[in-house]
Amino acid sequence: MSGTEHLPLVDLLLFEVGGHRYALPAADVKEIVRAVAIAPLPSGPPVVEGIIDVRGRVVPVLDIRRRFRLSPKPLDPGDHFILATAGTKLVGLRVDAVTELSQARQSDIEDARGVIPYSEYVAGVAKLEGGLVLIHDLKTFLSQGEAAALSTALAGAPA
Amino acid sequence: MIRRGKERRASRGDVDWKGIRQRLARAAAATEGTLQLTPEQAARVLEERAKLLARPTEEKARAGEDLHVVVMLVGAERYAIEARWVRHAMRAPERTLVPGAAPPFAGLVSVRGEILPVFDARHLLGAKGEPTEAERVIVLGESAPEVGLLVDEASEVDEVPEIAFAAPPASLSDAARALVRGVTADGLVLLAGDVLLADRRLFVTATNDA
Repeated sequence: MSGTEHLPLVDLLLFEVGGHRYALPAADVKEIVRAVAIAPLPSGPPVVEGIIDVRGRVVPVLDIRRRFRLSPKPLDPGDHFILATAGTKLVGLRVDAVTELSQARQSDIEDARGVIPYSEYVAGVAKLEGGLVLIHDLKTFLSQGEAAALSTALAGAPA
Repeated sequence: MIRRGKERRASRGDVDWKGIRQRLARAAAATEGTLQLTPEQAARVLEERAKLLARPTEEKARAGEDLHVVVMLVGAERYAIEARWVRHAMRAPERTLVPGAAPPFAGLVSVRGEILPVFDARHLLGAKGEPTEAERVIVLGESAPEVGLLVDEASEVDEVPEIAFAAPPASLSDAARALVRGVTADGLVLLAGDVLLADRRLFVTATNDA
C-alpha cells in the first residue's frame, strides 16, 4: 500500500434514507437541524418538497426519495434536515438519520458515472469500512429546468 | 456543525427555563422513537421546531452584523452596496445623455430638482457587455444624493451577514478590486460605498458646483 499515505483525505457526512447509506462531502454541509414543518411550494418542481425558514432565510427542501426512486415517507419528527450548499444555493435534504462524519482516501472514491443508474446525481462511490457509500452531487441534484422552476416559485413565495 | 436551537435560545436573559426543559424533554422523547406520537402531536412538534428555526440567531441579533444591501448586476457580476449609501433608484431612460461625454460619464439625472452626474458602473468596474433593457440608475450619497451609478439591473434589497464577506479574489480586475470590500461564497461582491464616492473618476466631470 506504499504511495497511498500522502493522498488527500475527504471528509464525508454519512446519512441514511430509506435504509440506504449515502454521503455528502462535508465541505458542502452547513448545518444539521431536526425536522421541522415544511411549507408546501405549490408551483415548485415535484422534486422540491417545500420550503422552510432558517433564521429568516427561505430554504427549499429537496426530496431525495423521489430523486432516488425510493418509496415516499411522510415527514416524521425523527427525521433530520441537512442544510447544504448546492452550487450557489442553500438547500435542505430530508434524511432519516445522520449517522457519522467519516473520512475517505481520495483513492477509495471511484467515479460513479456509467456504473450506477441515475448516476448524474452521484459524484462518486466511497469504499468505507461499512461498505460502499454513494456520494451525492448536489450541484446536479436539480436539472436546469427544475432549478429555473424553483427560482420562479421561490420568487413568488411569501418572504 | 450541529446547532441546538433551543439551548441557544436558553442562553438569553429572562427565559422560561422550566418550559424549555419540558419542551426539550418532549422533543428528545419524540426523536428517540420511544414515544409513539399521534399525527397531531407530531405535526405540533414539527410546527414548534419550524418556529424556532425561523428565529434569527442570537449572535446576529446581538452584534447587528447583518448588512442591509442593495443588489445590482454589472456585466456578469452581482454586486452589492450597503443600503445606507443608496438614496434613490430610477429607471435608466430617465437619464439625459450628454453628447460627446467620455466614459465613465454616462449622462445626467434630475433628483428632486437637483442635477446629478451618472457614471457607468460597467466602465468603473471593468465589466464588459452592452447596455440592457433593465438598466437602472442608483443614486448614491452619504446623506444627500451625490452621484448616479448606471447598472444593468438593480434587484432586491437583501440582508447579508457581514462575516459572509471574504477578501476579494485575485480574479477581479484591478479597477474593480480597489472598490471591493469583500465577496460572499456565492459570488456577491460588496462594494465599498465610501471608496466609490471618493473615487476621483467620479469628480472629473462633477465640478458643476465648484
